[in-house]
Amino acid sequence: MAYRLIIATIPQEKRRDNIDELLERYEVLSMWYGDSSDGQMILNILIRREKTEAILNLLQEHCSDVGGFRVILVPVEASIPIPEVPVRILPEEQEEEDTLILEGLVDRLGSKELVDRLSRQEIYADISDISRVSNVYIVMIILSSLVAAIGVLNNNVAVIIGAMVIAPLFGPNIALSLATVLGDMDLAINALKTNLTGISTALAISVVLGFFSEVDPTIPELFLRTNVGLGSVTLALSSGIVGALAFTRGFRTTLVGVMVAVALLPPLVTFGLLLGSGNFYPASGALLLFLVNLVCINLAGVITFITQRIHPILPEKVGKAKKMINMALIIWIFLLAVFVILIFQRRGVFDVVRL
Amino acid sequence: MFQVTLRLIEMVIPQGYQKEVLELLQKCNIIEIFDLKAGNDLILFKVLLTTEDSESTLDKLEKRFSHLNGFRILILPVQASIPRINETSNGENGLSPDEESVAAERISREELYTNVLAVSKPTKIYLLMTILSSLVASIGVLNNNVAVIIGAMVIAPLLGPNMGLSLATVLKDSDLARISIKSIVAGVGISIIISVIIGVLVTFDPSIPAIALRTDVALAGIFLAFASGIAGSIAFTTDVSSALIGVMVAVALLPPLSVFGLLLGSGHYYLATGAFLLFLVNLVCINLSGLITFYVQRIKPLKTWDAFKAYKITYLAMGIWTFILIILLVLIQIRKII
Repeated sequence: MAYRLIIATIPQEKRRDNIDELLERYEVLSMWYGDSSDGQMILNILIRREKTEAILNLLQEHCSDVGGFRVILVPVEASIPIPEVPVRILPEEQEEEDTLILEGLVDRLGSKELVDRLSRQEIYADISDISRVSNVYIVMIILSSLVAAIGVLNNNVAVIIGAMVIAPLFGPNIALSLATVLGDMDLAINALKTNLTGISTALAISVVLGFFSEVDPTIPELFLRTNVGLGSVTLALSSGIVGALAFTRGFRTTLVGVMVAVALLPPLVTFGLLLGSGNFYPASGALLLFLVNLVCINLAGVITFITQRIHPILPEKVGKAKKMINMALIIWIFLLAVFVILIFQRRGVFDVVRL
Repeated sequence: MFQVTLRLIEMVIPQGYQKEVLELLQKCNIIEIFDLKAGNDLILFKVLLTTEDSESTLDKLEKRFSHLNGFRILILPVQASIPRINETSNGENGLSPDEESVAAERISREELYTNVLAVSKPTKIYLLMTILSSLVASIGVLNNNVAVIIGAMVIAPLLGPNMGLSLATVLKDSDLARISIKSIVAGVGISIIISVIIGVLVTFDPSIPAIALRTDVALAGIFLAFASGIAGSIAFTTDVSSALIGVMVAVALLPPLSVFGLLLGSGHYYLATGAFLLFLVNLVCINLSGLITFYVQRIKPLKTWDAFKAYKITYLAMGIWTFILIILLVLIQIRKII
């Protein structure tokens, strides 16, 4: 699905005749429009999905102050003829108003600055969808914790991997990163709430399970998750970057791989099991691994989103985003430094080099 | 598994062709059609049909109208439709479809092409993904952490370009072939470089199960690669992306490559050749099975003359891949004797 169809209902007072010219700069593949019965203009634009953001920004700036304006983004499976790479045509003369709108955009989102990725709006819709606390979310957390605990206790890798893929802990953390770079407090609070709910539910279940079942800390899959080294940090950072990139490009399958590579749930469940059964030293290792993964995902998410140039367009949010980014970077880097020191302490400076 | 999935085709053409379009579509298996007036003297047709019928219909529309100014077809996914569509119904018009409209149990060529092209391009992101997944795979192998290795297999973007190469062959599309080969070479090169560097830096024991497993090719491995390759191609042609994940895991290209690099970097040359042979066998099997699957699914260019030439190229490519596979098998036997 490399293309998107933008369907915009534009209210009567905002319709313009030169919409073709206006859109010429935006690498539109195809454009047509019709009228609805109440005089609104229904504009259809076919465009590569990486190019949608600029048009959405333009439409938003142009029309969002009137009622009846609505943009729908529809995925397109394919298009005939297979589109050539369109040449960007710059119209020689433009109306003043156009130039104003365009210049306003160029300020914040110059054409060179546009990274080939999904639009901010689409990423936001995808991510906010998976970061809400819902009944389904809590049930999924409970079930995947059970599955993970059983997998770890039986040393069954396949079951553990199943639990990793069910695990809905990755979404809220990516949502937190997105909220940071967009300066969106509501989303951040939501994501934090979801995160805390998820983590505490999984922890409670695994501690109870650990208390009632025999836990042998030498089970390979358990031992593996109490053992944290610098390799774990590299692993978590690289997978975190891949995960955030997958969200900005809409790669669904890649995301599954990321969930498996840098799983949050199994170390957390391992921690709970060991804690419940009284194996405190190995438990601390599992906790450290979980925290390293958590911090690395968040750090990687924020950095990736920044380098992908995802930023808010409303001026009041720009300042807020800057503040939140600075704060988040300081917190995450500080925490990561603390954890690295703890890893050194646990493993000894010379042992750390071994992955 | 082949439930009725629907597609909405939107076609924009100049006004004055309504009758022709309706006449043409009478012969096709469509569920619903209506047209709307669009601005600029254009008219918009919306056609609802099943995914399996989409290719024959699209072919007819493209052959007939693609020369018109402003012509554009979009294929949109449809989640559901009311009233429910009966699997056996022959469309609303009740006419029996002509021979060309035989339903293929797959998505249309255009859709497949768009999907495959998107995963075959050697973009910056592709290269970055290759770098990161190589890191993840190497760490997973060295820690003998099966879950992490599986994660790396799924992240690794190497399956896409190989599917791209197979599709390029059956469609006689030299641009796609060039893009895919570039991606494959770049991806393989980067993975080897990264894992060799890690192999030089880190001391490890080559008897780690995760490594030992990937230094030997068995005959069963070839069947595995074949079966998974066919499953993967079918997943692409039917748009079942969850099946693709299974395929990526079953016949992973990256872990043998990483193991090869690690062993090469640490100086275990004999074991390294085993891992490299395993990688090559997997690569060849994926390409060959992709080619066979696409051929059997009758994916061919729109124009008859192109289709004829594409068949020739396909047979030639099948011959070449089989030849390489035989050479690899001989090499594997020779290696065992040494």
